[in-house]
Amino acid sequence: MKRKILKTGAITLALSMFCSIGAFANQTRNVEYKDDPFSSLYTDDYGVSHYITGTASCSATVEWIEGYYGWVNSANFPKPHATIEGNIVNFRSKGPLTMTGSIAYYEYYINRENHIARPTVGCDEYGDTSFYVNCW
Amino acid sequence: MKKKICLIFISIILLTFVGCNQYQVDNDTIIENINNPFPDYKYNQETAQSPYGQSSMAISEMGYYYIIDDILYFYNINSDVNMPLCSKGNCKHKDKDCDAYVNSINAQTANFSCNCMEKKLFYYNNHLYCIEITADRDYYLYQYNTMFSDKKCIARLASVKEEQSMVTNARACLISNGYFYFYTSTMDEQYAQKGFIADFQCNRIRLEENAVIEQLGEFEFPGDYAMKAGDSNGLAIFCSDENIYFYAGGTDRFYSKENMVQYRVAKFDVKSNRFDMIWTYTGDEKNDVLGKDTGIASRSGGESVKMDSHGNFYMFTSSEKAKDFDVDMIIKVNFENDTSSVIYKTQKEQMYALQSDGEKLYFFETTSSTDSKSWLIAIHMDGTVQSSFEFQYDEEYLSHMERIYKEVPDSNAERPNASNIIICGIDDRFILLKCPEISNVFKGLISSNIYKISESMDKIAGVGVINKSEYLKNEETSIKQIYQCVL
Repeated sequence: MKRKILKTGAITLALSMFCSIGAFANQTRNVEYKDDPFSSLYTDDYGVSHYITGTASCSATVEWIEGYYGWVNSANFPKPHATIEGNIVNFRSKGPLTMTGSIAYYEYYINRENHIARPTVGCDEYGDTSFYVNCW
Repeated sequence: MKKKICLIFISIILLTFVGCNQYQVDNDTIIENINNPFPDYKYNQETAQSPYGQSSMAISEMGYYYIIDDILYFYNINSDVNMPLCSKGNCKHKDKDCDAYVNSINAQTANFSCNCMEKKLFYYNNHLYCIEITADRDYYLYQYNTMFSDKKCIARLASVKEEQSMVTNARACLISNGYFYFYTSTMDEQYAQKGFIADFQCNRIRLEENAVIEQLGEFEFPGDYAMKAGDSNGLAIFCSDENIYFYAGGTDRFYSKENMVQYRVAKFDVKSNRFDMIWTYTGDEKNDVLGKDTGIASRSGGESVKMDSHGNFYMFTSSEKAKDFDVDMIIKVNFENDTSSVIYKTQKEQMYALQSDGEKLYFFETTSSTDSKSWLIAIHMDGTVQSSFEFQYDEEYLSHMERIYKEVPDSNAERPNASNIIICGIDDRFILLKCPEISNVFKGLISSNIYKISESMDKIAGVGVINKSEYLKNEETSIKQIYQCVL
């Protein structure tokens, strides 16, 4: 009886170690956001509404350790397309491609002026990614 | 056995009391003078108002009030304690249920109602002040005690419903010698048809009960240097040489392409009560508008402009050699004397975040590459360098990037530079820095886990302080972290 219990315990221990090593393994995947719409309706101080609508894309390779860490290995942000008040926006590359521990982003000038659009992609510790565009 | 159980039970109860209420604040007093690291410091409430340029913190005798992710914090310098101003037990300090919650205008939902317009706070005569906007867009100046409670209405500053008038740009307000100086602007149904040009009034009100608003002067200026409600629209108010300066400037309008470059500079002489427009410009030319060889002033909105204590203005500009809108010069302009000069040219690539304490200018210099570097530079008003502090990257982040470069050998990814770090404010004790998640890479400003992101990816990763005296003496110094986001 004692031998059986010891044997079962050893097998269980071995199995759980195998599973936990598997759980810590890095996972990677390619993500693509193709023509993701972004739109913002803004009201200015004078109560006038302004519309910025557009699409942006991103392709990236992300990596994560389940439950612990997530990060971006590489990313590409093609020029977005947008209109402000129905007028086409010209985006000009500013760059650079910048990475922190968990996100990657790139910056574009808007309409040859000192306004910026920044598409950003991030990966969390479960491999879930998020993508958005900030303008200012 | 029973004794052991009793001891364990008592220990658990004691540990529970220690563990909870980590941020509970004593309603009566903030802990004082436990260990005063600046015994020679003398508080001057006039210079504490940041009269030489906009600041994101309110300075008191005991420390700094500033905001992290919609929550008002106080850093007590003497006790070296940084805490939200909330006395609720078990509060998570994350949302509107927290006593320290502050919010501003939501331009996307067109909801102007908020308790702290543009999250701008003032500290004066042992009280906190901020502007609250009602659902009907009445703008009230409220006073609080040092614990952000005991709220009291000082005055209604503007009303859209009754006066077709609004306070514009809470960050472009200034308290000086017992007065609250602020801009209002007139609502006009024809605003868009008039090419987004609005009337701006320069006002002040005494900080006492039943005070009356005095309109000191007014001018026309574009309202569309701001993309949306609550954004900076190029305005600023300064106090220099005992005069109040009302400044408005900008070079890139969002919604109109006409007369893209405009400036208005007015001076209010507090002794004679005289308001004079001392300089104006309206046009499309961007180069050398502020004087010969001053370059393109692409960062000349009021939020980016600073002054010294002698009536001189300072701002970043771009020379012909600069790439796109990168700024590589600092110019000094005196609008009354119509003089200007270039006082500094960077040898690095870019400059950001100009600040002034009246005697020196402070800013970031950065290079951009896989080996990006950033420095906090202090210069005298004649452009000579006093100090330089290089930001250090977190070792774990550096290892992470080494792995990236090995896995992706042709990667052109770069490290963030300091361009997104916010200099909240400077006094004679510290320089307070706030770092957003987007630049979560610097020692002393880093979150608990560089690999985790918040849902919104826009939280503050860390807050730290640099000892100003050590920094200016070029002694060895580092960023002391006082807040770390736990992700």
